[in-house]
Amino acid sequence: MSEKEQIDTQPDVQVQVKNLVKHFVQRTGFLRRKPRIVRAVDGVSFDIRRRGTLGLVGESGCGKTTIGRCLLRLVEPTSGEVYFEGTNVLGLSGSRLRRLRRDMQIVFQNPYSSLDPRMSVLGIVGEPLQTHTSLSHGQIRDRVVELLERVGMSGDHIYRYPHEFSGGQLQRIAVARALALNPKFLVLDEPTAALDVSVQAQVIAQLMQLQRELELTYLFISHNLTLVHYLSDTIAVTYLGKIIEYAGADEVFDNPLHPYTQALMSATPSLDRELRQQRVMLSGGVPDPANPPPGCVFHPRCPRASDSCSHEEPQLVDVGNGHLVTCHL
Amino acid sequence: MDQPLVEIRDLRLQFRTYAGIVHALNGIDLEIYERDMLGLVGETGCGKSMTGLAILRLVPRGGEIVSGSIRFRGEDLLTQPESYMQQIRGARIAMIFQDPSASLNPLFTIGQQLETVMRRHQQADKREMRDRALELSKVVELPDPARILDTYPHELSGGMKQRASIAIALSCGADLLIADEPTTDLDVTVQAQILDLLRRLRETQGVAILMITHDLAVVAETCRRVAVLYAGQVVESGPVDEVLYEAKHPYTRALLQASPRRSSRGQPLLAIPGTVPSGLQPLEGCAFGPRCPHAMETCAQPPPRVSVTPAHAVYCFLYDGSEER
Amino acid sequence: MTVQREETPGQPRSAWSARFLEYGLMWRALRRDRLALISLVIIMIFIAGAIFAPWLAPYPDQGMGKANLGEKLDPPSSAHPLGTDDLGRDLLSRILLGSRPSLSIGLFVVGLAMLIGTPLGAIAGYFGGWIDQAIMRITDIFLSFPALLLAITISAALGASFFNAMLSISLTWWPWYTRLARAQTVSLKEQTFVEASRALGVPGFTIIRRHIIPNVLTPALVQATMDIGSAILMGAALSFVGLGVQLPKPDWGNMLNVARLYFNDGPWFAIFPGLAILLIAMCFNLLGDGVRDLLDPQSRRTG
Repeated sequence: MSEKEQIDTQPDVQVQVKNLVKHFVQRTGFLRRKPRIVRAVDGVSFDIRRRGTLGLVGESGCGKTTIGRCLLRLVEPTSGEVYFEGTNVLGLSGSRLRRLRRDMQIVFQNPYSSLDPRMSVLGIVGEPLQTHTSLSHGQIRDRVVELLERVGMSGDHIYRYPHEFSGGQLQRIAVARALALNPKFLVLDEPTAALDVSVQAQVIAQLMQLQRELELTYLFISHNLTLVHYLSDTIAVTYLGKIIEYAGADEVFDNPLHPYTQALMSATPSLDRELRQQRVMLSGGVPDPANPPPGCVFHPRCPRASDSCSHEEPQLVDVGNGHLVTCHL
Repeated sequence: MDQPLVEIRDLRLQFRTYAGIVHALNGIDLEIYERDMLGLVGETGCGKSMTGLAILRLVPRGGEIVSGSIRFRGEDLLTQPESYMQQIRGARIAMIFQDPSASLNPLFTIGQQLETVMRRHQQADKREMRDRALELSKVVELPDPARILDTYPHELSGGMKQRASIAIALSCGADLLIADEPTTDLDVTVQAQILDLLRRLRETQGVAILMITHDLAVVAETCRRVAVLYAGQVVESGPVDEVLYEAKHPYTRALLQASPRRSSRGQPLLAIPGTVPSGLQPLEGCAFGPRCPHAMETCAQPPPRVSVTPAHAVYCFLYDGSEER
Repeated sequence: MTVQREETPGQPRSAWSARFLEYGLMWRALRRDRLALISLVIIMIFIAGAIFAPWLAPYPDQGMGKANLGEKLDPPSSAHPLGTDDLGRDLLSRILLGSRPSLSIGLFVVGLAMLIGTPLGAIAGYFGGWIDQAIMRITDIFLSFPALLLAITISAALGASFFNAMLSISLTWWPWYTRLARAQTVSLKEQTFVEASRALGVPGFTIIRRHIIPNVLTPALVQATMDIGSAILMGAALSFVGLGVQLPKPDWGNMLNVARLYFNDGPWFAIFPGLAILLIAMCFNLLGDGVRDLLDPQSRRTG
């Protein structure tokens, strides 16, 4: 891990990730003797611009959720570097780390389990304020009301409990909580996956409005390619812990280069008739992250795999226009 | 069109709960034809899963079908004794669910589970059943069919488990397969495989499919016909091309506008104000009325069924009479 | 584009009315459970009897020990509704006054056990590692002794008195709560809302205090309600062997100890205190069952 505390960074880049790796070790086997290494994140690098949105998309086992948690150090990375506005996130500890938490926050996927069922809304949204500030009860209450109104909910709800609300409302409360300390960067981990389409629309609209008003930077994680495209400026496509394609949102959609991205796009059902294409059908499912294929991780399922694909791991290639691909082709 | 395979008329279903009586289904009208692919689409609580369960009379405890009819090949299933239903389930009408792990017994191999179903409904000897099991595995495109028959569910991936449940469902030559969110828990690439399989099974096995889902895009790409449900009522039904691309009902339109797609980028996703009714109040008039931007006074009455085209029906006062507003 | 506001039907709430409504719902649910309700009523009667014993007892001084040798072992009559004991003392008064130590042992013991055991278990479960190991091994040591035997041993070592009896029973009881709390904590730890608090930078002990303990309290409370009955039984057992309240002060256990000698001549002397113990223990058990069903979200859903 890097020893540097600060690095110079381009002015408009807020988050920088270099070679992030997270391996989970599971002990299996009869007497728990055989360790199994799950390569959840296997060398991931990207930048996020200030006030922009990076969409992280992939299927199960691709590591996108883990990446989000690593950035916030909810999970400690095995190796790699993460910089927030030049500061080395992974080198912080104690009170410095706690201070960082004010700037980087997260909204989780399941609103029903990310809010303590025994706490009132006031308690839930007020918790960050209680932890980091020395505001009085009255001041905290006022701020909570202000936050709720910002996410489009009435301040009358502060004494209610989570079970009295619908999924969409709960997610708004979760957003209010994340915004309590005026963060600059939000990780949105599948925030609408548990919600109906019409409610999803409300929450997404809310998030976009907040981004404009509060000048937030988003990392939007989802398995839904269409939704990611709608929200993001740039998209990173992940597969088995690696980023296999990275480009502007429209560029990825109009010009997918990696065979997996192409397959993902053709597999995603779409309401746009013009978009329907001949299916690129993949065989089998996503392999076990503990046992990734050698060489290019995608080669067993790749319709265009060649001989070298099973031996050499492809490197990230810049094909111009800010478009990066990891493929031999 | 010829006689429907399944005809549901004015189906009403209620639940007794802690908080009162929930009106889950409020007069459902549906037709499913032979080799049809009907999508039943709606959001949480609209009653789509309940409708599927009602067809098989597998409504959970506390639920009661209070009126209506479900005709299968002309026979009203609601008037038949339980013994008749037991012959139907699995043999003539089968069902697969969102979580295949829930319908596969972890203690038995796939082959054993196939045989259990076959033994229940057909007289066949061991050898015939084994052959049929092998054939079924190939039909659902399970890799290495012979070996798969001897594996246990926990050794299979999500996609394979779902294929196995499809095989079990079709083992006795069902006429109708009810698929309740069969791909919701699967990865997108696997979903594409399964949906493709279901589409082809329609042709090769001659089975009609009732696809219950919340995903409009899935319906758009897979189904031939669609029925949109809201709060226990059908609000619009007809061929997919007509309903989804020339939507008439305000709810259908709102749902389509709220669904993101490639062309949505840069435009706001319109949300639907208000919330879905809880079902605790009995329904009078159009369920969507309170949230509808075009609501009128007459919407307090049950909306009429209007045929926009012979196959495309809308339940809305906006299209009453011959004028479209 | 502005976003619509969410509207939830109902008036704005104050902190008090919100809590009130929560309990109101629980109360309504409890009313449905007849058995639990009857048990609750009976328990209330016993508690009231214990509190107001000096005023309710027809012969308070006899209750406290004054002998009345003229009326030794009289059967139940209008003067003595439950009869008299071996020293002629009114049994009703004895039982009423004896309910004080008997009931209070149950309540104090369980309260103390919960107070010590629950936080210990939460700490063990949340931090894991050597803290967990250390705490759980100590817990295991205590659990490896049969509870009654352990209580008797400690009590005998400390000397026979009411206070020592209470202390010794508490020492046998806290490990159960630690185990319970630890198991609950381990599963709670994985809940997203705990992760969310960590993401907010909330320190570990605060998370335990704010999030883990309140969520662990529910099963602990259910266990506690049922345990009170058992604690009362154990208290009676200790008094029975002479390690609790000492004669002439009344206690259901020590009364039984004497009563068994006179069973042939005056069975009521043994029956009534015994019945009291049986009744109170059973009622607490039934109440605990009711409370558990009540707080179990599954059973709340179906009508």
